[in-house]
Amino acid sequence: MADTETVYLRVAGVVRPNGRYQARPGWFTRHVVFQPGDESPYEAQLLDTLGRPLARARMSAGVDGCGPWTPTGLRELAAYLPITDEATEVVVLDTELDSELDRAAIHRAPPLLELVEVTLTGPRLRARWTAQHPRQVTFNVAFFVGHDRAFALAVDERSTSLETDIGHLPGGPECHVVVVATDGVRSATAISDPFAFAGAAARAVILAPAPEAQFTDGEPFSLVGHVVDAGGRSLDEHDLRWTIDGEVVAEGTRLAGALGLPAGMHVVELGLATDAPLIAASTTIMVGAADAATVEWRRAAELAERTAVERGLRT
Amino acid sequence: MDDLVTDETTTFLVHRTYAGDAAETTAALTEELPALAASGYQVVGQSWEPGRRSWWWWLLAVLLMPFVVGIALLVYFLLNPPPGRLAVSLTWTGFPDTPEPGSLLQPGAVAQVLGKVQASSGSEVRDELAAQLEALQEYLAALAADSRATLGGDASAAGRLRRCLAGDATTQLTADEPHELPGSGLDSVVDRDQLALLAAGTTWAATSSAEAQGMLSTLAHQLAPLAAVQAALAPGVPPVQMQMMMAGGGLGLPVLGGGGLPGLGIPGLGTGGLGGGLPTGGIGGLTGLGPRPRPFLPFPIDWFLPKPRPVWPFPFPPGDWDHKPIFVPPFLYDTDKICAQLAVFFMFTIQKTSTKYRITSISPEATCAGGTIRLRGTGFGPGGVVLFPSIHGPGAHLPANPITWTDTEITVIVPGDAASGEIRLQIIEKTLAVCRILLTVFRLGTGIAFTGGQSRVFSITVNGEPPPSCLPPDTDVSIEWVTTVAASHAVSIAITTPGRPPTLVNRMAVGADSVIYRTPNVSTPTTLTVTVIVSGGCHSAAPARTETFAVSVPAKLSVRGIEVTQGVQHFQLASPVPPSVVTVAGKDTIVRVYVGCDRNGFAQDQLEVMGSLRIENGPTLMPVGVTGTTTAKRWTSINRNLIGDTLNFRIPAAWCVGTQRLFVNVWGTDEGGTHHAYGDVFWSWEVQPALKVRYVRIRDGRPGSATPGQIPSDAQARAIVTQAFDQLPSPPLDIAPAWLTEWNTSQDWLDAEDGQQNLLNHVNDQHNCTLWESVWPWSDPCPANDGAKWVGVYFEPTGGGKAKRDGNTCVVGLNPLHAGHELAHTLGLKHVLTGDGDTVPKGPYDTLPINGFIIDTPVDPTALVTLPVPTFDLMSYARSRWISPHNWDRLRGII
Repeated sequence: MADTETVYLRVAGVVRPNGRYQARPGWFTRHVVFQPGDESPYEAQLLDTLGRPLARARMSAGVDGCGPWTPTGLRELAAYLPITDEATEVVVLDTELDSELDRAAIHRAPPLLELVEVTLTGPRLRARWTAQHPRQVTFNVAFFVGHDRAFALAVDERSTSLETDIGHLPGGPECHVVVVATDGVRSATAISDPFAFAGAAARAVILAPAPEAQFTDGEPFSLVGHVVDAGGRSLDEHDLRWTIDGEVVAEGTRLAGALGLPAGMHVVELGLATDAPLIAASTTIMVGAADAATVEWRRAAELAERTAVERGLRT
Repeated sequence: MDDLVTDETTTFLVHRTYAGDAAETTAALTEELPALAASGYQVVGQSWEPGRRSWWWWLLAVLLMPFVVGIALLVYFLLNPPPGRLAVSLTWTGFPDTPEPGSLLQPGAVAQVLGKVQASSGSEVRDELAAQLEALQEYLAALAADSRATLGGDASAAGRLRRCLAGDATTQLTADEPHELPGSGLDSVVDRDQLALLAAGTTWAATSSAEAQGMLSTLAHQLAPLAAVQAALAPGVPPVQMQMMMAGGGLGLPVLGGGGLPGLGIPGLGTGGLGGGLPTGGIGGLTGLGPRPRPFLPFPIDWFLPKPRPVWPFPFPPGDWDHKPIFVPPFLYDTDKICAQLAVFFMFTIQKTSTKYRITSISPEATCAGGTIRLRGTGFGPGGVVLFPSIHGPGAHLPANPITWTDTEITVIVPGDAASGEIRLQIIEKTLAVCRILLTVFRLGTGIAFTGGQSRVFSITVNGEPPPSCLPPDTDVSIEWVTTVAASHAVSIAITTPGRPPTLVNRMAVGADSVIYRTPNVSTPTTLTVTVIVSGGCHSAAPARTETFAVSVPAKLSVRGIEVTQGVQHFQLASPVPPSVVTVAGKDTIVRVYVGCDRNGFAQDQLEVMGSLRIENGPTLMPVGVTGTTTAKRWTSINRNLIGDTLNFRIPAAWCVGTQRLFVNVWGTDEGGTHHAYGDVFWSWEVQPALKVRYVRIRDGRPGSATPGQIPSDAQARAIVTQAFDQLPSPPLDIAPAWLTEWNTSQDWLDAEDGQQNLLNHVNDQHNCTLWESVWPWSDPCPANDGAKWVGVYFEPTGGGKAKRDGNTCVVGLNPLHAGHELAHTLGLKHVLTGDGDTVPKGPYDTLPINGFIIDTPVDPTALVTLPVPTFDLMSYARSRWISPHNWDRLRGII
């Protein structure tokens, strides 16, 4: 849908069950992250000064999940229209009812946006920007690590400054604060100079056994876990290291089996075999001595297995 | 090569001769030397005697000289001398420090042979062979026990040996003749020492040399099948050849059908004699033995033997104990047979001069402990011990030293534990050493009845089985008891069972006795109590014994099916279908074991059972569930919809990888003992990517909320997400908190439209990269993409949820089923209409077979419960929902 030359206008909104349309912020973009929706009777059009359509697009209607069926459910609409200089208005139409749901003017110029301050004090990030535009402008603010990881700091923000703690986010040698300003139709972007941020360490997550899990001595159980960085990405399992009571029991795997722990309290830990910074995870489990029923079961199970071998059913 | 000859005068000197020219005989000796040396024999002398042609051959040649033939004959005689003879003398120097184990039936030999047979011929043939080897083992053990007893002076044991091996039809044992079987195994019965003992006892039991040689002949033939076992164990014998050998050997393989051993002179298997007789009658059960079993030399044994040869000369002069036969068990190497051969020779020597004792009178007959009795008779010899019957068992005797002892009269004091029964004597006939064993041979003779001492009830059995044994209802059973023997003592028996008047029986104390009794016709287990009282003897109160037996039908257990599932699986008991729902590696897996029980309708064909599941090369697992047991029942009564109708196991995810063989053992105990059933299945797990899920805990900031600030705990949120994976064909291995660990919302999540939609959009805005698309091309195409599905979890116990279909975000309440539903939406699944009167969800819809109805019973692997009927696909709004096989397969292609 997108190419590098074409600039699109994102048109988005919500149709409520009562038929009322509520516009959501749109923006100009050369790239479209398209979330497919179902075909809908709604259409977006770009009009010139004479009201002639310059472009039109069927709006995808994302029907989000669940709830009982109703004749007119809430629908989220979105469409991308190739923008031209001649376009002065955008309209949203219900083609079934042949009615106009929304009409908005396209301002001649985007908001004049400037990042005036980005300071980082420890994990505390402070950003300040200015924006000049005849219409009300809202801002989306993100913290970028490099160019490929964005973490939203504010959405639909109306103030022109932000101070927040980013200590829980990952870092890197080249980080940016990005502000997108939009009047609902037309947008502008400001990107800070790069700065370095250490970021939070990766964190090990033990999914199993559960904390305080109880087993019987000799009972097998699974060790399940992984390491995620502060941005939520899983690290390669190659460096994982499982220990129980300090003894390495498995390496290089998210999933391992544990068997034959003696009765008592044991500490399961997941860490890395490397020196990379990591918040290791540990969980304490309790292995209880086999009760009389278990002991009896083991005796009977061994006898059954022996009998099977004697009968030549097993080797 | 000639057979072994033993020098009578020098116990440990043996001579061997080899026929042939000098080179041939030397080679034969050289070949045998290692084996002889291994058994402790060393060459002490040898002589070579060239062959000589008889004088009349030379005369014939001279007489024919006028003719050309005579000259030719003379030339031939000169060029071809007759075979010479190499005579070798060997002395036995004792076994080496570490004697080699016997070459016959080493420990584990039977198991090894059976394993080979199984590998080449399958279980059926193996089982047949195992049964016959077991019968042979019992038979040989009985023979060995009687041989030992005979050497100990037990005339009744000697009689049994004669009846078995001499085949005297007029003196065959009766089924109720008591005989205790030793528990020794085949592997221990027939080593060289045991064989020597067997041969010695057999010879000692014989009443004439002719009978001895006949009995030894029979014994040799009865041992012949073991040659096939030994041959099969030879290194390098491949299974196929071994199978041929075993079949040729006639050890019950199909070649000989069910007859097996009968051809070898053990007829019981074919006629029921052995099976019925052994438990109570010992070798008395082997009444089918003919006077001379047909020779058995199957071709494999011929291969195995050094060479065929006559066993001993015929005819054999009866009564001539000087003429010693050669006892050649056909499966033994020469070195191994020496001990048995020596034993036979020695016993012949002893037989030549021995006599039998006979007690003709006792006075007074009924004497209690401490009293003195006088025994008169013949053949008592110079001294010995009087053996009193003992209160410690029907076969036990108490030795008592005599006060006086002459060849015809003995006086002795009755010992304290003496019982009524037969008094015998213990008179040493000879002590001798044979190879590694020291034999003490006791004189055989005839004892006398003793009615003094104490009386006892030794045992009470039913159908030969001691308690606790299980008797079939409404069936005639044999109630047996064994008491001390005294013609003047009375035995009274009381048989009681609930709901019936007692049955009373009065008998004389004849030792072993029995009565037929019909067990009650019941459909649930009951008891049968037998009380035996013997009156008489030296008592103020009559001794009594009470035993209780169960009347019941033992269960026959069977593993009718093994269902391996991660939530839903195709499975049928009645007409098995291949399991076609793929299971995913790295995900806990449930195994349901369907156990059948058949008791012919007794106790409703039910039995409580336990079981185990062993993963090959892995751990053995206990059943899971409330009790960890199940009630096995007639398989047609097993209800798959009830989780309690199966034994259930949970295989931890770590072992759910690749292909595994799962072994199931089931057992249950009823009045008949513990019963087992077995099953196994190969199972494979498919590798599927781990769906990456990150959860966001949503804090309650709703205006007017009754629970302001409430937020699911990390453990709660994680559990909801993890359990949601029960619905997804993906291992729950990549679950973690999102970088946005918490989110505050003021949206009303109970509002299925605006409130939930806004909440979903807010969380989605934090995750979705659409917000940053305008930054491109400075940024990557989707800089917020962490490749994960985000699940916002809010604190709503009733659940609920909303998802971006085909997106990467959903929000859910505290309901894992709903979480699975919403995650499935994010993976592209649409709602399903059941048409079953359920709430109609929002469109659009997927069309599923049978409107998403799940034919197979789903199992919730976390809660370990089955879902009720009807259950529809997860994506419906049915009252009972689970992932259907159809959507499970679809998701496999999506994730």
